Amino acid sequence: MIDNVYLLVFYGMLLLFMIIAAFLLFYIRNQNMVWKQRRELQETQIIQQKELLNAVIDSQEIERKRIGQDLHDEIGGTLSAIKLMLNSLKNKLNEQQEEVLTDAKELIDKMIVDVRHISHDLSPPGLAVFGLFTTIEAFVNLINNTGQIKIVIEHESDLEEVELPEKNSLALFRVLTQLVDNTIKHANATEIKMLFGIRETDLSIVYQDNGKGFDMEVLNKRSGIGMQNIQSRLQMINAIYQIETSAGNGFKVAINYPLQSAE
Amino acid sequence: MTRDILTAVVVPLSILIPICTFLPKYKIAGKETKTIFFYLIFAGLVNAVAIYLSTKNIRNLPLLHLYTIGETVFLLTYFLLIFENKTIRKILYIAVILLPIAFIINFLFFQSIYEFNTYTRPVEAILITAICLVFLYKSGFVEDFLKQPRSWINIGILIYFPTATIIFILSNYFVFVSSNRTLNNIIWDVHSILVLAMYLAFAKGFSLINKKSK
Repeated sequence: MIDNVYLLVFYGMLLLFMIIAAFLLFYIRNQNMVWKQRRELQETQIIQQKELLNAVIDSQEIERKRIGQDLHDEIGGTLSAIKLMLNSLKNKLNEQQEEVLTDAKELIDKMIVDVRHISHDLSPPGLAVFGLFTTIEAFVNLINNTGQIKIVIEHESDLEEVELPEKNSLALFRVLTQLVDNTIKHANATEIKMLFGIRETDLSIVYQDNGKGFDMEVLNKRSGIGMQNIQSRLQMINAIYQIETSAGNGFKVAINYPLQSAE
Repeated sequence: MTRDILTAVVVPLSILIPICTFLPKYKIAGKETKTIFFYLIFAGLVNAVAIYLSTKNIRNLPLLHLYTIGETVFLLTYFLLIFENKTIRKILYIAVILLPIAFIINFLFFQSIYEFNTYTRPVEAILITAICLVFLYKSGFVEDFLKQPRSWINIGILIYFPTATIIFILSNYFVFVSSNRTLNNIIWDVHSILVLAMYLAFAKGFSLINKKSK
């Protein structure tokens, strides 16, 4: 009995190779499955976080709107009624009392204006009717009138035709007002530029100030509530943003909002 | 003596465990488990004839050549029934026709029927192991893996065939060349234990057969 040893060794090697190859294939497949499951879990968590954030922001806006309307209708109305009542006292008081009455009426006028500003800030009234750009312009005029800072708005193309859902308009409006607030509070800037345009299928908004800027490392390490709000709102409407800033060189953020997602 | 009881009595009789487990489930069993059942009947009969011939001092190695052909046909048919992939099924169809022919050619022209078929049996074992691994890979990791009859049948196949391949390769050496009788005995005891483990795995698989798994 003489077996072909070469053939038998070949069988042995083939078996060994097959077992090792199978082990490797199973191992790779298992690893791929683990990675896939981990990725799916992460994606689910991100979606859940986003949904939670949306719900929080939505409820926040609803509450703001309610408070704004209550302030405008209830307090504003009551103040107007008080003013009318005080008007009815005109020519019925002596000179000294008339002076007090005039001061009181001036105070009420100031209160009416303040209440209107606060209620408009809480719930921008023109957003649903006039759209984002007109509301932004009105807001910019208001800031410019204070003389604190100069805001320049530039339209690259005719944006009046662009219609955005109210929720998304409100998110962009809140982002821009928060950016202006940050600039006024922290940047020590004299001028803000807002550039609106259309880039293919995106609405492009470039916000820029000439303030002191900051190191991006600071933003990466920790961001304040204002900046977190900006990031959350932009994430909520699927907008992409890129920040450019460094100490002494101002602050710039380019926002791209996909118009298709608005449909 | 203990060795003789294991290889000559316990293991041959252990084939009755899966057979008896299967019998009450015959009507609800699927074609693939029925194929394994008939394979066990075939193996049991061949084993009984081999033991009978052995007691009559007649050389029973020619039976091994026939058994290899039968085992190949039964197990490849089993895999044909459980695979859905067309390419693999085509390969299995070709194998189920060509391998028996190759095995016949082997004992007609290459290896005597009074020797172990060391050229063909490892090919059969390697092929069956490979197909079984491919099936495991393709079927994926299902949650109720150990509740499926075919999983246990595949476990049985994977317990026996890869290790037995080494024994098949060296069987002529162990029996006809090596003068080490103790080593020879240990090797065939290991083979018997592997056969027993395969039968027990089949029995476990058969016990899980229900109307759903058909």
